[in-house]
Amino acid sequence: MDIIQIENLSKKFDGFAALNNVSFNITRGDFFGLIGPNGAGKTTLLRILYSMVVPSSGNIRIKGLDLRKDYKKIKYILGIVPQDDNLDADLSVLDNLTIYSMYFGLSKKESLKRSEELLGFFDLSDRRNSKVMDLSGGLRRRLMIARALINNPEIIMLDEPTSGLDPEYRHNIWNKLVLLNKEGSTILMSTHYMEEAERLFKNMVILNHGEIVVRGKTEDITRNKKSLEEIFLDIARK
Amino acid sequence: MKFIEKIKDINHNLSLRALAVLYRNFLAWLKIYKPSIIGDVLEPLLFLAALGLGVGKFIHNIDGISYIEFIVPGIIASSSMYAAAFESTFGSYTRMVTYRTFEAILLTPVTVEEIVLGEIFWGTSKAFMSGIAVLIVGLVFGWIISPLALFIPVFILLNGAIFSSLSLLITSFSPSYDFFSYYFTIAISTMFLFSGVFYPVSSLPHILSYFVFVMPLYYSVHVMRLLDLGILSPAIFYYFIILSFISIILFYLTAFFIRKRVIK
Ligand SMILES: Nc1ncnc2c1ncn2[C@@H]1O[C@H](COP(=O)(O)OP(=O)(O)OP(=O)(O)O)[C@@H](O)[C@H]1O
Ligand SMILES: [Mg+2]
Repeated sequence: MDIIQIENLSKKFDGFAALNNVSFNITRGDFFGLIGPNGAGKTTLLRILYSMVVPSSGNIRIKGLDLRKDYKKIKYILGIVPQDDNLDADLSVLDNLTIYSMYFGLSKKESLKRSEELLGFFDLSDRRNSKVMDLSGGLRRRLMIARALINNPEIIMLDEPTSGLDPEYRHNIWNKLVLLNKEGSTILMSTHYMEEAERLFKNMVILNHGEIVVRGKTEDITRNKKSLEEIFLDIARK
Repeated sequence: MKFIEKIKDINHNLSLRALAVLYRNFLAWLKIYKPSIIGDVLEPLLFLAALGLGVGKFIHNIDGISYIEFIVPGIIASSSMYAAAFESTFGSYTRMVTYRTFEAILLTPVTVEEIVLGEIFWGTSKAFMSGIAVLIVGLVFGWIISPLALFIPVFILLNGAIFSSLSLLITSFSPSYDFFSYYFTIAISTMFLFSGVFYPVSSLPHILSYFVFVMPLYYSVHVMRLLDLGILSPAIFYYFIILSFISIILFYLTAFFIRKRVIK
């Protein structure tokens, strides 16, 4: 059974259709990509999946559970990195992680252990007592991803996690995500970097004006045709 | 009965996870507690000193007690009102809009309703700190009259819960920080000046005294003064019921409107 099932999903904001009749499934263990021009509906789709936006119509099942009814249960298996930074600016790096684990109901001991693990994994250990405000953009992004992993999520959703990062940071994050995916996490991610998309995504959909225009395996989409970048530009110009 | 359904939905989304939100706010507060204590604790004591001792010099007795004794319960109530109102407007708005803390919390299993409850617990805690500080100063200086005043903290909590909920409700409609000026001028300052903190409301012109009865602060001031004077009247019990009822209604309204504001 597919871990995420999206069926005829639509979202209207005051009459404006941000998503129009979108359907697709994601299998367990996939590294699934969302691409499309600015305003295509990628963020809206992700925000629906993590229950910050209520769909106008359509059905979503995550691990077989109905998102509308069981969104609280579903949250326990999701790790979410939203497009905009919403780290807790009042707290230190370490407190950002430990407080977050309280929201998931982790015990104090578990929480400290997990937080230290993640700080190590994202090379943030020596900044554990820094104020979030004092971190560079790249370090904040790493902390955002670390925070999303506090509950050992089965599904990780990331909305443009590498935008604005230098190539080294970007590679660093790619390696971490590939590792997590190899270890069994299902990943759903959006990006505007076509090189990144070709390199990471096993499957993807391309959205434009709230509709799916291309879907499939990355290698099939780019096979004996133009590069993903050219395909993207063709779509965006239409 | 759509109304009942809504209440059921809200109840369904509540759990002790709200305490994590309270703890988060406490932890953030620990880093800035000094300026916060100045506002919540020192300021009411300045009022108490300036009016109680200064103005009090010209008023030799009011209802048979000294002026400062008269205003202590009023200042307990009004300072807890102010502490809750500041926290649940400017503080909560900052967390909801400026820093997107609510949004970050909502990426976890914590629900909007639990955030609202946690925020109200926190606003109430601030109110409690402020009111208790005045009560302690009153006790230390001998301005408290009856041992029944030891029940005042119950009503500080209720008063805090009411003003925290009401303020968070205002926050749910607020487009910006500026909007709070209306609330503080029209609602909060009016209650501060006309709820019997500084003089018995019976001395107001008759027509104004009707308005007094729609002000929650009036009930808090009145019941705290009854306790302070050691008057064991059934009104204390009635007020407890009324104030609890108001705070529960306000909680549900606030939970409903904050959800509307946060989830698109
Ligand atoms: N809360 C909202 N109210 C009104 N319109 C909205 C809201 N959120 C999104 N939209 C609109 O829906 C459309 C899709 O936006 P969305 O953020 O999903 O696009 P995106 O694909 O993530 O774009 P980007 O690549 O720029 O991040 C846009 O036209 C946007 O203006
Ligand atoms: Mg987006």
